[in-house]
Amino acid sequence: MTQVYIAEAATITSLGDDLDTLYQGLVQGKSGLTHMSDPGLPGHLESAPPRFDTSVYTSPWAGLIPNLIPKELSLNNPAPLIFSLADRLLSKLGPIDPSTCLITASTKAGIDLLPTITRNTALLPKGLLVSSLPGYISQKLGLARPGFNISAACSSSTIALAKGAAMIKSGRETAVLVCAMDVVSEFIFSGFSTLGAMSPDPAAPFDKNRKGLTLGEGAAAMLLMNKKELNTAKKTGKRTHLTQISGWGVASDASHLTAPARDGLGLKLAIQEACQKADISFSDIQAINTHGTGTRHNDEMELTVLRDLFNPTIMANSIKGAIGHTLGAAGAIEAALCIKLLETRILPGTPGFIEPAPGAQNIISSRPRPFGKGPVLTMNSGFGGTNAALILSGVAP
Amino acid sequence: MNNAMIRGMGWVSESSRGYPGQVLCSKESHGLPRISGKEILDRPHKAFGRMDPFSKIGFAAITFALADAGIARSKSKKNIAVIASSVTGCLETDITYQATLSREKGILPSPTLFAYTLPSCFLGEASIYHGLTGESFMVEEEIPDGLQGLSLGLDLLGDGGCDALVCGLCNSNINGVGPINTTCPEPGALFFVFEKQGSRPGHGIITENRVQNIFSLGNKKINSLTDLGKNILVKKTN
Repeated sequence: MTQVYIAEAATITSLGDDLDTLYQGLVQGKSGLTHMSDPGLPGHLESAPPRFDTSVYTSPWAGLIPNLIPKELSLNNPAPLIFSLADRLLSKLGPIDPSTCLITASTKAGIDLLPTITRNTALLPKGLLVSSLPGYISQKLGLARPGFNISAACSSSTIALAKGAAMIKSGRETAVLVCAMDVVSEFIFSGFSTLGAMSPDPAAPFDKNRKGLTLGEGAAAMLLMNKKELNTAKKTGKRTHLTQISGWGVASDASHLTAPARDGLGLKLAIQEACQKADISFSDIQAINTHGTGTRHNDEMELTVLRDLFNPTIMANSIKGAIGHTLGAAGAIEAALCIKLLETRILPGTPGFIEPAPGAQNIISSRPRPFGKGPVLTMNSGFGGTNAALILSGVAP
Repeated sequence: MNNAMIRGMGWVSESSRGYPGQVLCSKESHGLPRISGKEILDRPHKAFGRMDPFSKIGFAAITFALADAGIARSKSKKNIAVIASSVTGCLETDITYQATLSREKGILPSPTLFAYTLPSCFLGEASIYHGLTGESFMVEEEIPDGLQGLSLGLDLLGDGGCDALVCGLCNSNINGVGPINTTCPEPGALFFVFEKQGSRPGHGIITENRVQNIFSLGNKKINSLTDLGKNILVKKTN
């Protein structure tokens, strides 16, 4: 059977511009969340330019990437902020073969350009449509094909990785590059504020007193390869074998547009499918990265799923109290983090978690914990009732 | 080689909507039709009235396609996947939301409208109404043919990842907004229902030659999902 290897991974988050820094920051309990309006408060980043006035919204907090500023494609032709983020992400990668298939994952990509067109609708700027993101990245990398974007709310990049893995397994592709990213814009910020989903304080996933989510921005790239392609890359010294995506599953709740199914039906189906593909049972999984947004319904649903499928000693965490909810990029950032989990066998703590929500005791901890040898699971859910799960395993010596 | 039987087809375009044998021509002189819930649903469904125009046309085309395929809405959930391709996404909805945001200075934008600025939300609406628990996601790309989404869907169907596949196109009308540096697709929605080949009749067999990256309906090469729809209708007429 064709195996799917992760040959290279890179992340950019509010906790730093690489995967090691992100992982170390999480283990050390650091927070990348920024108070966007009050420089006097802890967490304010002087290097982050003000994005917008947050005084009318329900939260001033966000996980912003330092020094991320928009560029101009040409004179008076602004590019969306996401193109700057894409440039920064691509600079972290080694050479990519032009035959590589590109899948991007983003929910709203260049939506920060929208205010410019409502004032002057003469010409829609390049980069406003999400569909332009893969073309931009493909051109930057000199790929033979333009690629495509997968959009499925907060499961976008988890599904993109699942599709990339499926394409390699089926023999359709030998190498797939998944680039996931989303930025904090007023458009998105106002929406989550008006939905009442944002916490006035930094998000506290699985805490009894959690009040909602904190938004963040980030990016992740993962280069997937089959064994033959990987061996060739290894011989040329370009790549190392990091880990495998051994299982993936995607399913819908068919229940509610903006709230998860209380019984976690869709997420259970996705995990079940991922375990079947990986040929493992639930009890083989050693640690779990949850979606863990900090909203009441999401965290409750995930705890139900953990309780129903896994044994009571399972360890799980959420990183969204440290870097915020990075929407379409969340799944890929968290999957990349699983590489570090498999390498170190230490699961970072859950920032903001103080008093356990019902059912969270022992499963969630604020502190890093060692876990046993075996695969790890990462899972995400989103609006529209979408759910996706990935199983990662097998780190090379 | 991937292949599947086309069981159903449904669409909403500027000129007509429905499915083969059940076509309603538009009364509007231009633009996409305003579709009422009564026209497509077997019982009242409040959510339909709340949807943005992009979601309404996508939801309606999926509903027409499932009706054409004889897949009735039932209480039992079905492992049917939904994949939609789009160039424009829900840009019209984004613009409407942004206008409320600018007008109200961020204080009172509509939460419902915001939810529909995620273009994949109509797939969730269709999943909820029809009880579909399979995969659902949008493929957004500058090439408007919809064939990338079809490839992903046929792989999924062939691999046993779903019992049936709903796959198609959905695009906003962005002509009123202004030109854009990309191929502007025709506004509207077009969806098909695919199943593995079996005894049930259908509109024909779609075949994908994965080596040559060619799709065909019988001996006829297919260049896009729109092309596929036109060929099915021509075949029906003949």
